[in-house]
Amino acid sequence: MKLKNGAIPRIHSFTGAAFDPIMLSKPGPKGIREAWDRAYSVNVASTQVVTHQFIPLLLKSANPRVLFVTSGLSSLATCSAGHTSSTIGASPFKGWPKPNTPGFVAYYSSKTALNMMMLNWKRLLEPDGVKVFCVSPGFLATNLGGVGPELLKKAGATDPADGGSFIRRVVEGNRDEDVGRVINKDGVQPW
Amino acid sequence: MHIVLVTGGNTGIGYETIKALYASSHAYTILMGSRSVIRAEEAIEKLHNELTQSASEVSALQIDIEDDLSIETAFEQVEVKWGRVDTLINNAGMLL
Repeated sequence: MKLKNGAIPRIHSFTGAAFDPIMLSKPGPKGIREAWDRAYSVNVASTQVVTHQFIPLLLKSANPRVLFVTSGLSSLATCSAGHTSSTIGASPFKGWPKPNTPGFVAYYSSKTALNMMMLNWKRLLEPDGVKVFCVSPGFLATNLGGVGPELLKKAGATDPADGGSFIRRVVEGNRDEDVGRVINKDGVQPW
Repeated sequence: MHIVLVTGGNTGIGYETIKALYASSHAYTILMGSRSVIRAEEAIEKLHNELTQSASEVSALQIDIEDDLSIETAFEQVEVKWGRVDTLINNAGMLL
């Protein structure tokens, strides 16, 4: 596995400090800040601004919906039960520093924050009849993270077209009974 | 006419969502939000090649969700041209 800067990360079979990829090329506080600041800036703050700004146009619709694309690993219940991504796994070894393995913690945390954001929009927009959801499309082989779909497929990612058709069903009103929840193609994702 | 705006729509899940809508029998006006108009236009061309017939139309909308001016401009363009949004899909995101 090669990253954008050509570095080859050490991937251990055990787990530890789950990092976001930028922390490989920028170790220490700089990388931590960049990963966490950027994840929240893009995935949370920017999404909040866009939604806020577009409300007047949504209120002109006869049947408005707002969807927030989130992640399966944004679930506190799932992660606290120990079910994390295939790249994280079980408890880390004792001691410090922990061995580095990919874990994308800043990314997943930002998506948990996004789920919280959705709840506020659901509450605010309910009197206006706007249907609000988080949609969790699943682990799909896209270019998220910049490592390429082929590598993600090897880790178990499926066809991104599945995500597209699931989201389309939500747009078409097939999941309106699940307004205000985090939903995936199989049902409702736990908080 | 069902107007759908997808941020980060030129690639990944955003593109696949647009493609699924485009392939549907429903008539959508799809706004492909993208930081780069060029990349959106390339994605739209790819979409036309993959699906030659559709009840829907897709157009590129420049929007960088980290840029307040870009968001404001996008809002104004949508307001002037279409006057409303029926479905907003906040898809643009990043894993660094």
